[in-house]
Amino acid sequence: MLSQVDWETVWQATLDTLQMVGISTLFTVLLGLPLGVLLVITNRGHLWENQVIHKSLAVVVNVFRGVPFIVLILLLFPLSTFLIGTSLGPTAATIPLTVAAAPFFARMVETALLEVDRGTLEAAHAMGANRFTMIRKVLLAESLPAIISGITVTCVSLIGYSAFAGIVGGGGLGDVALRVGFQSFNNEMLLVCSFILVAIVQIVQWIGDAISRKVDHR
Amino acid sequence: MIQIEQVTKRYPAKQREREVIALQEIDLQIEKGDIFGIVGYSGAGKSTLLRLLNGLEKPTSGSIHVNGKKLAVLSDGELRVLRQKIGMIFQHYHLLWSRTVRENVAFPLEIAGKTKREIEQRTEELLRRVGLWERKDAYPSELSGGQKQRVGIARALANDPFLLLCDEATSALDPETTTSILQLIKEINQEMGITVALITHEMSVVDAICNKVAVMETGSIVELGEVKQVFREPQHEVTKRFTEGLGGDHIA
Repeated sequence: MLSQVDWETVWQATLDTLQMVGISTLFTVLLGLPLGVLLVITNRGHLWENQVIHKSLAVVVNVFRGVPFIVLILLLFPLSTFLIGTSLGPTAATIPLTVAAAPFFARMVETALLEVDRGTLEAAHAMGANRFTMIRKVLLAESLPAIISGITVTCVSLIGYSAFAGIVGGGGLGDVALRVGFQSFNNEMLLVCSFILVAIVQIVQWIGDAISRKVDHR
Repeated sequence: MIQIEQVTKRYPAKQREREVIALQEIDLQIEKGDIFGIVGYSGAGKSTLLRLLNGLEKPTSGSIHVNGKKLAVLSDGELRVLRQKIGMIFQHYHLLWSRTVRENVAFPLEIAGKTKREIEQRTEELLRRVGLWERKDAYPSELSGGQKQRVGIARALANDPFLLLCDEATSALDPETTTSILQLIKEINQEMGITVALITHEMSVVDAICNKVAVMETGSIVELGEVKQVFREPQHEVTKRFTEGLGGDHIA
């Protein structure tokens, strides 16, 4: 049973995947959150109406979301090389992963913030709050459960994307599943790597749901 | 305390929408200590009028003075400071779901830059005043409509306002709860000397607590005066319709 599994390879691949997903989730949130906030507040009739910024951001987001991920990675190789000197390895893979996921996450942040009752914003406005306070203490605080769900969905997507990224040089479980498993007719390796990916997805989903439920007081 | 002179508010035409005249040459004075009722059917412009008083809406022409200050010349910062001294409550409460009762009341104090100690002390005072101290750690979703409005009132009073604006504050409440909330507003007016401006589509609210009333229709004030006078001899057709079938359950 599982005699063909090279556990050391599997362990290293798991660490690589966790590293890729962890770093890219972090940067996706750091990039996507302000982007989503900007998309909302620059819209017509909102806190900081600015059609030029709003429309430009919407175009950028749609372009990145429209290009298939596998193509985006290929296009972004030079960017990885430029930023960190190589396009190989898990760290290099985080760059295309982040660029691909941030616009996706930004749209989810946008949806979450639009769910916030405009009346609560008006109430804060009437209390004399400035824009920054309204963004932080009303928009973001009130949509926190939805934003956490968004982070969970994004993180799960990034686990899937990271398998692609692995194949074109990032390493990780997807890469091992394909090269050591599928292409070398080692079905046990293929199965074990797939199983671990599924388990990671499941754990991320559990944690995300638990946190989201904890902060949801509606 | 509040002078509104020749105020007109137009919303410019947008694509496929015609220009809307929300208010037309409004003249109005609210004195210190008044409970001033603005009554009218929906679309009459009362909501816009109320929002002129704290600068949430800006007039197209005319002038508004609040406490001797002309709103149009205030900077954004000065306007925010003024707003901290004008409480506002809403039909749908507009509390923050993510905050407990006490944290909701703390919000305007945070905006005003109060220290943690001051906030702790003041929120306790306020919640005791509106009878919700036992529920301080509850979330708004766990409260009844009347309790939510009490939180709204405590929040509106946090920074010792000189003026309280009520936007259909009892329209979502049952008659019994309405009476108790109106009672509370009346007490606030009498004990703390806070001037109240309220809008409503129910004449019974005006009857219960207001001393002055303005009746509005399609952006204009069609009748204005002491509540008793207006009720005794309604002049305008709209006022007559509003005052029809009203009993006299005035809250003393």
